[in-house]
Amino acid sequence: MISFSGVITWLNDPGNWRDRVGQEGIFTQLLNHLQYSVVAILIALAIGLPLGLLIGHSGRATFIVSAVNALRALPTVGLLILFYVIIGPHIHGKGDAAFLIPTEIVLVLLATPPILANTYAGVQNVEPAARDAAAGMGMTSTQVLFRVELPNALPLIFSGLRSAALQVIATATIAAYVGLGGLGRFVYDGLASRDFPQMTGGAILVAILALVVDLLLALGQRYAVSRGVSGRFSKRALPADSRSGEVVQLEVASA
Amino acid sequence: MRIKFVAVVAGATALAAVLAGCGKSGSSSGGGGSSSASGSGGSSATIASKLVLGGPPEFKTRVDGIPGLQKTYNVTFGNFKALDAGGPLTIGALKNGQIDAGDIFTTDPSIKADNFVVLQDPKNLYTAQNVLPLINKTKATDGVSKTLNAISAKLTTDDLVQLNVDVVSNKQDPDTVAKQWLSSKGLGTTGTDAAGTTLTVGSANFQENVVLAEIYAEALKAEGATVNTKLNIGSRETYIPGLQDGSIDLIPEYSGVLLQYFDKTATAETSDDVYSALQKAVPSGLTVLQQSQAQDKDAIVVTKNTADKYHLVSIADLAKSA
Amino acid sequence: MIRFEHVSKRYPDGTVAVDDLDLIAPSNQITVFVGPSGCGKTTSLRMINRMIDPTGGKIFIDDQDASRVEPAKLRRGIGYVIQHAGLFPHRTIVDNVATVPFLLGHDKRAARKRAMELIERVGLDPKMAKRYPAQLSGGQQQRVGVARALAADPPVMLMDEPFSAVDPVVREQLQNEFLRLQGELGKTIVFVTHDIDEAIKLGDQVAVLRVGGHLAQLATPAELLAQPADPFVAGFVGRDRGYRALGFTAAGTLPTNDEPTVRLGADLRQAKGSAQNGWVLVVDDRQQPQGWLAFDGVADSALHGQVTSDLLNLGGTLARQGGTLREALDAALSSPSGRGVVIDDERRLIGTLTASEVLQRIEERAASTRHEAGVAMASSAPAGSVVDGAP
Repeated sequence: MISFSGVITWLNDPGNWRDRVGQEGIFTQLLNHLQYSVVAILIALAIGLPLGLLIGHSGRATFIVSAVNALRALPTVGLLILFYVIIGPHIHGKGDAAFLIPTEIVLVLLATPPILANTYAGVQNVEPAARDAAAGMGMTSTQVLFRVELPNALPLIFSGLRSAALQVIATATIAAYVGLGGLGRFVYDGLASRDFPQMTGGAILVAILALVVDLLLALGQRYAVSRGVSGRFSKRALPADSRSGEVVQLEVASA
Repeated sequence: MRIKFVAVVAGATALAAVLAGCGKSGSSSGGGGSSSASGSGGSSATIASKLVLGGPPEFKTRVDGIPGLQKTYNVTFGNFKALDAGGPLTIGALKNGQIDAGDIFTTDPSIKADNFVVLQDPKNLYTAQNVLPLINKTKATDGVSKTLNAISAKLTTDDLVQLNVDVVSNKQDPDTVAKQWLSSKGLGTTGTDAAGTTLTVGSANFQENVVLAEIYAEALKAEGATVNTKLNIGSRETYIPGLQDGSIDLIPEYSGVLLQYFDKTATAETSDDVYSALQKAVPSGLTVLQQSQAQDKDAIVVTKNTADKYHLVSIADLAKSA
Repeated sequence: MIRFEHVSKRYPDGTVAVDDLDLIAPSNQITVFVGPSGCGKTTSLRMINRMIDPTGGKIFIDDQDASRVEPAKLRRGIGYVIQHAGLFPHRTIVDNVATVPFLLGHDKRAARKRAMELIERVGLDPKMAKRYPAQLSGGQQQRVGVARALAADPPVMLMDEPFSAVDPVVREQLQNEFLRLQGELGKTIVFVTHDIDEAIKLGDQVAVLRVGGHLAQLATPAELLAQPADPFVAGFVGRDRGYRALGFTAAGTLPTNDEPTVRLGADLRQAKGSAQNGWVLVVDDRQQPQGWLAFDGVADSALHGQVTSDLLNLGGTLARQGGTLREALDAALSSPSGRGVVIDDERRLIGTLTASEVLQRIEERAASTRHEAGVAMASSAPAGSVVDGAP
């Protein structure tokens, strides 16, 4: 039976937040968790964003988007162990690298599809008239991409980024499965020693972290996306054109 | 627009750098899941303090884990990595050098295959883990008990190692391997001792337990019982209640951990002590039959290189000065 | 000017979009490409600014071979207006308009200032400048599209069905204002439309294209209506040719009849006294017509109070003195009283006309046109050929 009060007690105990001998505290694990997540997201951005922009802009090689999408279906823990078994023997030394690299690979594989797919969709969904006009007015291909397509694709790009961030933060718990840190440490240790307050506390912290990061990204989205694209402007009645709208009595016959 | 873009990228890079810096300082004290155990165990550097131990997460708090090593042998490792209980992660990490010592089960094929050295345990830190049948009392008829006890009488630890090699390394079918073992021991001949009984034999989700369950199942079938198997069930939290509510009737178990499961305060260590304590600790409705001499227990295992380098034979040697 | 020399566009699968097109779009004039779907009008337009490259022939813009100029550079010197405006959603209206000056590296402040001028010039409220395209109506967006094309003051403008996506009322306003603007600016314009009426209204010169990319006829609107080159063109130009041609003939000074009027606010009974054939024209105090008042069959005893605007019949268009025969005829035909109202440039009443008076004028004009055409044909026809007098 998981007692709700037990979890609150565990979260409220300052001793759990500081590092102790043999046990890193919540602060440290939060930072670790963020570190694993941010690295994975940045790498996924570095892969997915340029690829998505290129494929969306040129309209070629769209099969890449479908292929990458298939990655979403992969089982993360299974992959993690598989990558460790493949990569581990080649990394010697006691550092975290042998476990960290497989973990990051799995997290990047998880984060890239939403970013790539949404970036591609964002660029593709830019109004064709706007793209045609941009080219017709004399923008080079690159200028069309960066001055017109990218700014208008931002809502979908951010959507993909937030989706990726959520998945990565939730899944970065698997780092603890291979002996690393992060909030998963509390989940796995709690489960292993039947300390359910610890386990549940860890899970709750993951959820809170995911929420906070999403809020931050939403703020970033608000800042980065043009108001003209996001639609955040007042919808009050607009003045008519200075020379239109009125129905003139006894119109002058048109020639 | 361009300024905004640059600001966002700069901010993200700065954030990543800060996190990387914080993370590094966090892991210099031993990585995320590794815990520095310095502070206890004296200021003289023991061999153990220079080494990294790998084991399941519960080793941190388990009685025969890190606390037990410290208490019984005065051994405190420099670092601990929470991996799996004697699984591919721990074995791989030991082989690759990411850990120096690992918690690996004594019947694992990798011990022979990778030339690992099992450190001796003279003080019996690792409780006896004799294989025995855990059975619902109503199903433990004379005929059934006779059949199962006959198996326990002939099962040895070497048998377990070989069974693991067959099923895990050579990937043979557990049912076939079970039949082969029974005939090689002169067991499993047709009879009627268990005629008229219906049993469901369960197993935990690792191969050794699956083979043992098949051995029980095949022997009982040969003696006329109607037998179903429910294999790869999971952990004790799942199958012990199953035994109590009748979804399974019989499962191969290990004396030491089973005792711990029923009685957390138990302190018995030797085979006989554990067995008698277990008979008392088993909940009503269940019973344990005779145990075999075969044991599959935790052990602290090192590579041959490490053993040679530090002249390690038993766990106690780890407490010597480096 | 823009010159097409044997221009063709053939696609790899064999489709011929444009077939050996030869024409000149004169400087400072509007040349309209018109035709049914698949006639290659849009393809031809897009070959001018190299959005599509020809597979045969050359296009010269002011005697410069377009294929020799780097496309982006070429396009920055050509105004480009398309059907759904294609405004950039992420930029304000003023920044949209200033796009090409920004591209060319002009000073931002100066560019925005000029953009503001253009915004007003195309008939938009300056308050629109800081808004975003999504906040504007279709018609407003099209105006911005035109302003944007004019921002860098290019000598040439390409317009691909720019008014097709708005409703008819807005379309007419845009067409009229476009003509006014062109009157002020005098750009070299190539304009594509599928609407023959729009082509006739806007074009100084009209190129009718046939499916398969052939030029069927290149002529002024009046010639097109009067002398279609072949049955296809005749069919495409459609019916009512004679009637529409009236729109190109100036009425000259129309002889009008004096019309008694009544002011808004005058007493109804007095108003009845001025009615002719049961109708009287009501004007305001500046002599601008407001509507007709009907008295037919109304007893004097039923009349109380004053002439107010809700009593007026608003049917009947107004013809300007100095306008076309078509205006004059329409004013007469649509008037509820049968008397078409003629006004001056300040919308003040000059007089009225009946339909038969206008028709008389039409016939006089037609007769003199036939006579001129007959003289021209006789002097250009080889000796001995039959001269058919009917146009």
